Amino acid sequence: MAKEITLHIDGQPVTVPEGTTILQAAESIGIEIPRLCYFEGLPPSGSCRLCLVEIEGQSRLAVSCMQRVKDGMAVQTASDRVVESRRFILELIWSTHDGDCTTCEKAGACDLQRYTYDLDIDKEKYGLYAPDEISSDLGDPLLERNLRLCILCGRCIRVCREKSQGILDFMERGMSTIVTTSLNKPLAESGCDFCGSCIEVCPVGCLVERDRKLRGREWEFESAETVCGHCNLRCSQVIDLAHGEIVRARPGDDGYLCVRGKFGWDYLASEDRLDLPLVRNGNALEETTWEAALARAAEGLAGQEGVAGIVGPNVTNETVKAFGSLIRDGLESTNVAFTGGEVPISVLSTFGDLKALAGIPDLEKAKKILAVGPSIAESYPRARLAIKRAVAGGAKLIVIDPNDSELSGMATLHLKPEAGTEPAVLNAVAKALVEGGFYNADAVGQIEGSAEAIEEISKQGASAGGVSNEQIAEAAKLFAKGKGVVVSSTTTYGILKRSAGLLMLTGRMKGALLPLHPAGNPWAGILLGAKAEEEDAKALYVLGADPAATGNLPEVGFLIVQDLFLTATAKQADVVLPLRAFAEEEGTVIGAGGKLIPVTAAAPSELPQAWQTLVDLSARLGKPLPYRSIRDVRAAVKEAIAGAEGVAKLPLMSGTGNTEAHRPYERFELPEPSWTARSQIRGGAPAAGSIEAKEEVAA
Amino acid sequence: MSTVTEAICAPRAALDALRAFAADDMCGRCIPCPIATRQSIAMLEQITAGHGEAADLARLERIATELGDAARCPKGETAAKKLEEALSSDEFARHVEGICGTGTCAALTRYRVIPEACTMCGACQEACPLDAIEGDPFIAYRGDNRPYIIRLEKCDGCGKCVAVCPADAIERVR
Repeated sequence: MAKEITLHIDGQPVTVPEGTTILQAAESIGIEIPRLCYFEGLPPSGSCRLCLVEIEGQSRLAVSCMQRVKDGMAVQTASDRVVESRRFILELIWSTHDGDCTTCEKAGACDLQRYTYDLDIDKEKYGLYAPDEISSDLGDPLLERNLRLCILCGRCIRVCREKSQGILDFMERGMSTIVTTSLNKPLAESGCDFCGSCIEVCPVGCLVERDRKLRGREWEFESAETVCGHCNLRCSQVIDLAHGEIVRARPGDDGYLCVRGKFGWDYLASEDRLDLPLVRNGNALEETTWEAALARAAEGLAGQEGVAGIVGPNVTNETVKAFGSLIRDGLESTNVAFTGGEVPISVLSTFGDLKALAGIPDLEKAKKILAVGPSIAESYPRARLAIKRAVAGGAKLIVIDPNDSELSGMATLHLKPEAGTEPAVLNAVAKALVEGGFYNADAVGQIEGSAEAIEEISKQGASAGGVSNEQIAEAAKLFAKGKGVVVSSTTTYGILKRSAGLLMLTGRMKGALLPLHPAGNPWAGILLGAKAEEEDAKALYVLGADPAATGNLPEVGFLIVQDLFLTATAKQADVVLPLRAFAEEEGTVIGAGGKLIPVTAAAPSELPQAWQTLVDLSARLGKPLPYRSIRDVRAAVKEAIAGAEGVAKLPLMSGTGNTEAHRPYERFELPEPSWTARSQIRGGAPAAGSIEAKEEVAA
Repeated sequence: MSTVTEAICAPRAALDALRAFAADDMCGRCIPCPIATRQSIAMLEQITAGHGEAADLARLERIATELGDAARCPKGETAAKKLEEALSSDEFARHVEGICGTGTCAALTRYRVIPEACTMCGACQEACPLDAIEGDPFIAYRGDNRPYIIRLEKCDGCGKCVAVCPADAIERVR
């Protein structure tokens, strides 16, 4: 418990822990001290000088964002001297800020504008100084940088260092200082991963999303919070609408979105979205009403022997559950497949429940991180940020990746096996844990089948894909103790089962395994229940999946496809139904930590909810599903998750894992998640600093 | 030969000091200091070029008194203090009235030919870049040659005539 400090601010007594800054202490009693460079969560720089306050007994004014409280301090935040200094600084800033609030996108949300109003500043006290060579648009994709509005507060520099690639800095010096990239190169050539964090902290209109330009004023925006659907990390996301249309996405409580969450919402507003159902008439698909389309769908399904369903990982739990119910209960078939991969079964068949799954908070708090698989940092920037923070906090990072990557640069230990031999490396680490006695014998003893598994682990061969025994032993020793998380970008059964095994051997049964997946709800497969032996399907209902794109669409007599776009599969369908996207759907998803996360319909849609459509269809088939409201479906979801849980079992860790097939929910090869991949990042920006993008830049 | 300037005037000295501060000491990493310096330099340039206004003096006073509080480091504070000291001179107000008084600011300096001392050699006329000097050279027994005079409306106060005059016959009138 930190020591408590009592001081007076503007005559009011306040008691705060030692180490608190004057600015924070003032804020705690509702006194807002103006500031332009300070931003909560970023290290203070004390450069704007706007937060100056007067401390009794001190001749100099103090920077309240940096100065820490002392016992008995008497602070004036709005004395004549302080206010005059503030007015002076604002007058000066206006001589370097070549802006017009009447047309500025930031108007209404601009700190400079607000303080200028509050203190009734004469904007023209000093002449405008803005040399012609300072650009009003540097031409970057996705965001506009207008350096004529920059006030050199440095927030973007600090947020880029904290959360992203650290590519911005003050360049030149003295009166010529500007904020830009090294050599003033365009962002796309500077290693920028376009997370847009800089936009979120800019106090003025210097950094602005291109999408929102001329689409509405700040005070017209309506905002709703949901979670991003571009990967299974499900970062909180706020969608801003102006005049009923999406104009911007920004981070929610978590304070970070990657380029996909920040800018990748364009697919929602795409002109290619299906808005009306289509039915086949000869060779053509023709638009029709929902009524007619559902009637045709019911007619097509009713007479068929052997109906099958395929559902994708980019829909809510409620949609997956209602879909499963329609196929199983309504159409009496167990032939229903989930295209979201092998995460659920690998977790459930080892740990027995989903509590072992880790979320971003677990990763940030971890002391030992084992990262398996390629491009974790490049493909999952939120995971990169969490690992960066954990490592900054002293966590040890072990990377298993055949290639050098951004993550391996941060690693304490980088194991570089031959490509495809990761399972063997995990086996070898398990063996080293057992042989070195580093494993948690007490915890392992509680687990079913552990004696047999341990024996097998110690008997297996020493092959570890070319990684030396010393490195394996070091990895085992390093990983053995402390809060540990395995994060993996490879979500195959073989890798995840072994990762789970390592965690169990070291006694980590909660918040420990974080499989990264490019789909938004890849664990919803557990809602479908076990699948029976498949028979040939005569009719097929595909929801949110595109098996034809990977050549896995079976020949059927009657095909219903429900999706956002006219996919390759939809083009072959007899009935095509439009589908709501994540940001438009109400319901829940299974989050990265294994918990149910609510998603809200932040973006408007005229379409019916998918579960509602499925219930309507079941009624037309004469087998109505027992769901009157989304609450009923949610109850069924919870029941299904509880029903899927089993007992923990230490997996056998030997072999390469490449030949093992354990796919009870999986009938088809894994296709690309159907629309995540399609959402183009516009303007030619490299996608999330991917390897391809970097090669492109290098070439 | 006389020297062109007696001493550097206070506004020019302040301008030189701020330019040196901007070129050498200033880092530009806090917001007020570089802007205040840039603004001060701009105003002093106007004042020494003869375009100063009373409002400029008020603005400079404000910078001098406030920058000490606002600047982050002692360098900015020192620059403000120096400016404040300089501003205590009444030369700033005189510059705004159009008088430099030391010959430092060419735009505010004017000269005249002292007829009694002039030898009518014509060197000043040849040296003048602006053809501001009228008159004819001395020719014995000619009575219609004009004495040399400096046309103030054409003169920019550069002082080249003073430098070339062999008889010290040109003096500063303001």
